[in-house]
Amino acid sequence: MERRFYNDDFDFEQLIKQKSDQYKIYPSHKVWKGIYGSLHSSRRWYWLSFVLFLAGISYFAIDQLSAPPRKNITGTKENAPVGSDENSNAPKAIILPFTTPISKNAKPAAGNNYNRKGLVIAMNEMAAGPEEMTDPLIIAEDVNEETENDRNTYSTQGKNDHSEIIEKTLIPHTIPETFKENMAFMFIKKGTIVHELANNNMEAMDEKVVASNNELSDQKRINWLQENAIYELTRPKLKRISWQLTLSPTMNYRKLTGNKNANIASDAKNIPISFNIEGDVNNLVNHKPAVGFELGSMFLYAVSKNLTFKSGVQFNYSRYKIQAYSSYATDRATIALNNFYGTTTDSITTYTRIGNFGGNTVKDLKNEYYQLSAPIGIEVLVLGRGRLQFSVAGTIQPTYLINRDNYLITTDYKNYTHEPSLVRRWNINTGAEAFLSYKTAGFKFQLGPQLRYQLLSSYDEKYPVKEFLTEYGIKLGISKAIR
Amino acid sequence: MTEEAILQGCLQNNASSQRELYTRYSPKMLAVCYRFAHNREDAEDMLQEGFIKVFSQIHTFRSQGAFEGWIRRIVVHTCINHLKKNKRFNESVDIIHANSIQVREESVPSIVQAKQIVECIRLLPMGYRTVLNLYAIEGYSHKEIAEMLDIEESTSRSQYTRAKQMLEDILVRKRIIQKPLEKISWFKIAAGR
Repeated sequence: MERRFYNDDFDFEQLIKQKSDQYKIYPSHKVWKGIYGSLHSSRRWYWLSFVLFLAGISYFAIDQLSAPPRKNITGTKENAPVGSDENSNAPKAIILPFTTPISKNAKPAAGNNYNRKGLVIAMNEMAAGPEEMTDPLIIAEDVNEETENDRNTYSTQGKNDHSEIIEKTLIPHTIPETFKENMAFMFIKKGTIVHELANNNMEAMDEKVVASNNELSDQKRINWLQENAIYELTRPKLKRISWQLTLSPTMNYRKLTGNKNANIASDAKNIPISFNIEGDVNNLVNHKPAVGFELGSMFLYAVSKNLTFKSGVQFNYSRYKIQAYSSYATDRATIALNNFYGTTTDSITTYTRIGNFGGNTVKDLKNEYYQLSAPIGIEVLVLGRGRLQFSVAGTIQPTYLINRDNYLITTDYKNYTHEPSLVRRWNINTGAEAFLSYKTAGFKFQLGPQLRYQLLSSYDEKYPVKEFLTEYGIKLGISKAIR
Repeated sequence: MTEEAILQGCLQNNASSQRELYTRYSPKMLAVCYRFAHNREDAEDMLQEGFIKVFSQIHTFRSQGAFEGWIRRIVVHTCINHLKKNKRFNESVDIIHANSIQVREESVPSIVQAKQIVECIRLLPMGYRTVLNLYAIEGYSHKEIAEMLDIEESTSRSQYTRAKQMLEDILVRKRIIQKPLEKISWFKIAAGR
């Protein structure tokens, strides 16, 4: 039994010290999780970014691998006559997927220049069967490449004798005879679809078309045209203006430099000089990078397929850690100011308990910067014409600093203090980025590294120490065409 | 793993070394925090904050003193800062307040265990408890305590004297210690005023 009696032989203080020191409590697991998360937060951010990047790449790869290959119909037909390929035994039915009844009024107006190339493609496809049908969008694009010469040649032919035109100039050998006699073809011009009867015999054509349609056994052909050709033949109008939202986790660094301006007194120091500590300021302070973020909203204007202007607003939260020491006693914190005439005469003196080299306890400080910017810049498409593209971009960012309560090191490098009047409110940053973008479902997603660099010092010209912030990040963006 | 190896690992920001250091010292340090804190949750917050400082400042440790003592100093200062932030440290204590402390008298004297002592210390008002913790257990001088808590040195002394008397009375009431008959209860004196 450890009962102790309060008498001269008993040291009360010793008892409580001894017993208190023996006492142990085991902390819950969340304490270590919190410590670990705080110590290795930057690693976690980069892992997260890396995983996001990998997920994006994987998604693209799976999407591309699982998509059916797209055939180039024109190339196929040039090299492989209809009768020679493996589809030669397929029924050569006339395909009229459109349910609109054919009427005599459906003839094109006199004087129209028929689009010969589109006609050839359409007829050749019909002859070759549905497997050889090309993407309607490809047809539409090819149609636009028709030369003026082609149009002239075609327009010199008889306006109504279309069967002759087809037989002589357009489909010399790829169309079966029975097909040629009663051919209906699809004609594409300015997004409209016209059914034209090749031999001008509309009534006979109607009967034969109905008969042929009854023989259609392959429902896939109709489905293909209904699902693709009908709805996609219209060429979409190019939308030039997009809205973009971006988020970037960033790692923030800073660079401190001495005074390089010859017009300003260099390395202004406290007086007396002998108390000052000499050396590169970067080596005399203990700063560590920290994680921040950037959030932006931009409008993009596509000048051409390769060049896009962008502008908008952006919020940046930057910070870095300062390892300092706290003292129980206050100390003079003197900042000697630069003088534009080459002499050091002015100084600002405050009192502080935060030391750079020593004190009673260690103290972690943070210099945090809340910035609003209006970036203006360009994006240049470097690689890719399809859904996946690689681009680079650059911006210049007039920046407004919201807070000015950051710590400044004194010019003798011994203490830290606050002096908002020496913190620059307006600044200029530059940004550079490279990114992969992927278009899907009307949205464009982008992911890539970015760099942001502050062009002017964080502090006023009078303050002898210059600070330049640098941010490295991974930018994730989503944009949507709006006009 | 030796202390030297742990230290080297922590200097390289090695997570397993940090975990080892934490496992080794966290139970003792949580007990330290618990004596200062309002409750267990606050104590764990203090411990977490303290260990983050330990790991981030470990490069400043000079092998001249005991490693545990260095950690303990950081943890104690973290506790004080935490109390200052929450303004709990500035709680004033008077006689009436001290008399109003509800101490359940133990009918059977119990074995004096560490937990009993610590729980009795925690019954003290925050101001008394902080001074008693710093002076009697952590070994700071009244001058250092005065600087840490931004109070007068004489205040620290008087707070400690009262805290000690109150703790004695609590321990006696709980029959953890026995008091000689000639000793007059501090509470009786206070009540007589």
